[in-house]
Amino acid sequence: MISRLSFPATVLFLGILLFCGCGRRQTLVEIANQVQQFRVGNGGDPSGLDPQIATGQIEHDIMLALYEGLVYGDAKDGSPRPGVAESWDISPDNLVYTFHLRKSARWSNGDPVTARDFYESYHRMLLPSLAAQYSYMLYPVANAEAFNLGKITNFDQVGFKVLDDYTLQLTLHSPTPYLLKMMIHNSWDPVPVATIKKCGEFDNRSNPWTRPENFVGNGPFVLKEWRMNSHVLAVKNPTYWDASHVRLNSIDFVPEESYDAEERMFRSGQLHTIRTAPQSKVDFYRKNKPNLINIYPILTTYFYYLNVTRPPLNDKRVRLALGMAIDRRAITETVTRAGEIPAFCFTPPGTAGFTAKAHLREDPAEARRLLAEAGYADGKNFPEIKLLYNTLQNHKAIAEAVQEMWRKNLNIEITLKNVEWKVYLDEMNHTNYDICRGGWGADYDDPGTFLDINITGSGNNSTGWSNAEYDRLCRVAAGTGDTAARYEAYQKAEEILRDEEPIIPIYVYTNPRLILPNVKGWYPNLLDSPDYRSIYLAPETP
Amino acid sequence: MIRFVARRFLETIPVLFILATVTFFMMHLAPGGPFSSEKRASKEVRARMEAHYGLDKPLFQQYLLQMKHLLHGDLGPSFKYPGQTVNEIIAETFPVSAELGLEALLVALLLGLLAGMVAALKQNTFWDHFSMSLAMTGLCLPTFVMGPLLISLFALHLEWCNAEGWFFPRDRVLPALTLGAFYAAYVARLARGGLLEVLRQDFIRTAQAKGAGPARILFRHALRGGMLPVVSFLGPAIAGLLTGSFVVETIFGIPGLGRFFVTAAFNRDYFMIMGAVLFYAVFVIAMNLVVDIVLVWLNPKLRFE
Repeated sequence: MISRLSFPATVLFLGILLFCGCGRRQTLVEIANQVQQFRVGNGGDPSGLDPQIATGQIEHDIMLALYEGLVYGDAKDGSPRPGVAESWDISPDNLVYTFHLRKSARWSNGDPVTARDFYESYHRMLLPSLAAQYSYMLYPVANAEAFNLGKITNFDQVGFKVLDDYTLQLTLHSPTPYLLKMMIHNSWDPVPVATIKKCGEFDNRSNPWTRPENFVGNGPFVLKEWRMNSHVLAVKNPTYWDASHVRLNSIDFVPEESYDAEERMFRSGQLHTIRTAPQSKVDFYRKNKPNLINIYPILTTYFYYLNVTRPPLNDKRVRLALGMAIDRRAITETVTRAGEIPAFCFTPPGTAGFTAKAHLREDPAEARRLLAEAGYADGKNFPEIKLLYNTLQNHKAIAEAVQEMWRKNLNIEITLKNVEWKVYLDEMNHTNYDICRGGWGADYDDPGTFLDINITGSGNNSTGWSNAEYDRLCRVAAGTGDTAARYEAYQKAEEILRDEEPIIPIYVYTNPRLILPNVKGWYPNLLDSPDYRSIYLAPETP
Repeated sequence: MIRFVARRFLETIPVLFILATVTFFMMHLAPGGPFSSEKRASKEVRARMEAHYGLDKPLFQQYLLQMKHLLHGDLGPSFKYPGQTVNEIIAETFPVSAELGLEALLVALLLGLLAGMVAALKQNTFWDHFSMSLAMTGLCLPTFVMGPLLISLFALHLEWCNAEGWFFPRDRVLPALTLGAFYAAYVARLARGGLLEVLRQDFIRTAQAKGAGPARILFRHALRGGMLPVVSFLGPAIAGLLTGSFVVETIFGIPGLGRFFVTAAFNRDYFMIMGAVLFYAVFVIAMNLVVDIVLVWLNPKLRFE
């Protein structure tokens, strides 16, 4: 018999039952603190963990724990520190680097890490058939580029030489003062050649050697579990040469793609840290929980590409006018609001100690004058142009602000064009736009990583801009080991950029990281690369 | 019945073929490719990556090649995950989505049928209006609002469960509720409608006249006929539930298949798109077949033909 009230009562009862036993319990972070497990929001699912194939920051952050190159980046300032190499000599002409490997370095299967391993790893990295996207990171080495492009096929001609089991020599084609900084990047990490060959073809991108059951690495941690979109668990590697100084027992990387979901995980005690707080929450944390948020600059610039091959932007006066008519402080203080630094030059100030002297001036009056000189007095007859950006809240807000500034200061109308990521990339790559949002992050701490993209014919030159003097200066800078001379060349290159304005810098990114105060030994640095060797978890203060 | 199933099975083949063909050309027509990225690889490297996956061949040849592989059940490699094949990805993520789907289905049926029955039996009373307005809310509240709301309440304020993840049994509760609520609302409305129609029929009146109690009338006489609209709705609903939901999986950080439908398209992960589309199609077709069989069983007026 079904009584009048039993239906709703049943629903209610079931509802209560559902949550039965769901009372307040220890959070994952509280449990993790007791066993020194660092729980990290990783910002997305890694597509792979082969250091020679993977390219993104998401993968990079995990690989920092799993591999160690000849050098690794210091936790505080990112400078190169002895990794597998305990020391190195540099020849007086800056062309020959001799690395002395420590005899205590081991792979996670117990095998010693030898100079031969590095030699064969670099061989694999440069094999044309592997098609490694970051192979160019090895190009400072003599003949590396020729080998990678298939112009020579004998790897012995490339400037890597095994002098003995524990000595590796690199010969460069020209002095590269930032070589050691480049070597921090995971493209320089060794890979376990024997294991790779056991799991499949040596030069096959799809080789499954990085799956947990096959995995061999030489970093402070070793891959234990990897479930797609679920988590990557790395545990302390007992064979690591400096294992006694590694204090964490494990790191759990949680690949949450959505900033909002990640922040909820952080808030509910599932994670110790997340790389980037959602835009909408930054203000809240700054005001109410300043001990949980850490905002620091990183080497990434936000800017607009200008297509110099189409009118009216083929006229540099128009380009300059657009650049001068933007109020950057208004953008960083009212739109983005995470302490970004207004940018008046392309290279972020302080990149490897380099700060461009040439600065773009914000001057609406001068901008109007330049625009008039170009034939568009008071914005009259200015053709309709579009500003292209990929779908993302922030890009839209910035584009609208800029649109308004140009309307107000120059009396010109531009249209906003919002497209999906891959369409955006396609239009940008084919220089099929008028103005296009751009961002560029450093692969290593050196101004060249920024300025080189504007070289004529560079794969990343999206503006169609070409300047012989600029190209020459970048070549000069790349070919000299004298830092003063290099930076002087880069100063002049920045001057040309300011004079020609193919790119309008807007701001230098900051990263608003959320991190619990009991995480010790973590420091903000310009490349935002954590050093898991130094991190440990203090007991929580009640 | 065997002839019926066999015929339906044969009909499936051209459907899948056309679907695969349309999908293939649509995804190749979309601008951008799997290997475009903000930091561009050199021309040589990109050419070799494309060659590795056979993307350097003429489009029609690629099409034939992919069709050939599909015939052998080989869905191909994933571009996003160089170390994984699409078959492996589906094999790893589908069970998660299926589990969540089943739990959501349970929620949907439990809540939906209860609410629908209450509403039908107590037509035009407070309970009817109450459960139907609840169902209306369930229909109108999108999962991307409901999910964060539930998380906010139960995970962040009451701290009863985790906000995200798929590790412990209690991690299942909120996603299943979120995903199930929408379907529960549907089921409730359909069940109410179906039951009301049956309850007005002569044989029910006869049963009442014979002195059968409300429970006997509902379960013995009305339910079978009243469930017909629910069952026809359940076919595609089950297929949709079991193959995963992009929104719910993203909100709750669940490692299921649902996310791949959307992210594969964003990544131009050609083989993954094809694999997901075909997998989903096969599932929908199979579920519809099952539903048709169940409908015949429930409704003596229908025959296999």
